[in-house]
Amino acid sequence: MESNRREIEVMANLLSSNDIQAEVNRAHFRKNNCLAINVLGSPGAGKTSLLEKTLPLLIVDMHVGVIEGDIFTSKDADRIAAHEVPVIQINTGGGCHLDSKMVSKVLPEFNWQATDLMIIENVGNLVCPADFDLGEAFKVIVLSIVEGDDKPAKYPVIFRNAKAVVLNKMDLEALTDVNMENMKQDILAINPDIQIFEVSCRNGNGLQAWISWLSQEVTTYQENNG
Amino acid sequence: MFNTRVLTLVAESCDATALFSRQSENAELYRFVQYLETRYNVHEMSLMGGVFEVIEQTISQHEVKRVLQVKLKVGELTNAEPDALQMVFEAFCKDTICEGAELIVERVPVRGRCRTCQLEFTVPTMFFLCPNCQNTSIEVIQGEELLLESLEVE
Repeated sequence: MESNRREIEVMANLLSSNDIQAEVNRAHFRKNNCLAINVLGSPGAGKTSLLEKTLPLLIVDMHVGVIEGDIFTSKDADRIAAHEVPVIQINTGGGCHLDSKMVSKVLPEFNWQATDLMIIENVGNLVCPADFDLGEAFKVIVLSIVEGDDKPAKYPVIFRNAKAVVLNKMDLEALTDVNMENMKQDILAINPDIQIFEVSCRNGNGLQAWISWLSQEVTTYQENNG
Repeated sequence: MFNTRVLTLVAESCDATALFSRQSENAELYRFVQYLETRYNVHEMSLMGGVFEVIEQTISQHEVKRVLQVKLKVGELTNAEPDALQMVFEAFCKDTICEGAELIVERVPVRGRCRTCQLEFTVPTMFFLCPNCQNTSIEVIQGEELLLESLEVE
């Protein structure tokens, strides 16, 4: 019997359904004049702590919403809600990252007449979230210096794709062997355009520069969009 | 005070229950997929969901009895692990038109183009530096692919 063995050229993107929904989300944020950011980092880097320190100062001038991604609990969202900020918790039930469809499902929960900034805190992970566009304007990484100065070189994809990195737990620098110059050199070698902030969420040092930068990003986005 | 609302949203592509009902009534597979999902490879499960979306779409437009080979192109500037993809692929193929198919994963090295002198070069270590003019402003022209290149079918 003659074999009907043949090759079909496909050349299709494996993430196309995520990427299409991400563009829909992005259009939603744009229509509502809202800057959306995707906050990434390892578990324990201080993503939620950074938000807790940032939100009280930001909400003086603007309306902020938060989407929290977590595998099981609502611990992070409870911490954010205590700051009088509208927050929705997404539990991924084991999933290692948020995807654009999950984000789209919670968007109707917010008041879009009054949201200037949407902060999406991803599941704690330096690997998977890098590949999944949520429709954000840009990504921000939170990296605690105690994770080690080799981490940017070991997880380059996420650093290549971010606009800013917040180096947290600077108050612990003297207690560790971390070489800050090496860490920053590696970050800039991977992504020369990235903004680097050195902060301590514990004692508050360095937070003002980060908050001013983020406020300015919201203003710039809204001016360019409007 | 705002009340926290919690929504549990499992990625469709790596939802073991959906996969179970779509592909098989096989309890062993269900347990295996659940095991994979909770243990590791959840990232590759999401990507494999994308692979099977593309396969389903492609074979719906062709007359196909069996899929023999699936070729992927995976850039070095993504976080997809070829070994994990292989393992998840086998789980997804069981009891489908793809059962027994071979998965070929081609890794695509990162290449960049210098925005100053236009030199194109391979970026070996993820450090983006032009070997010609030492500029650091480099456009990535290759290495971000996550593609299904082709299917071999009969």
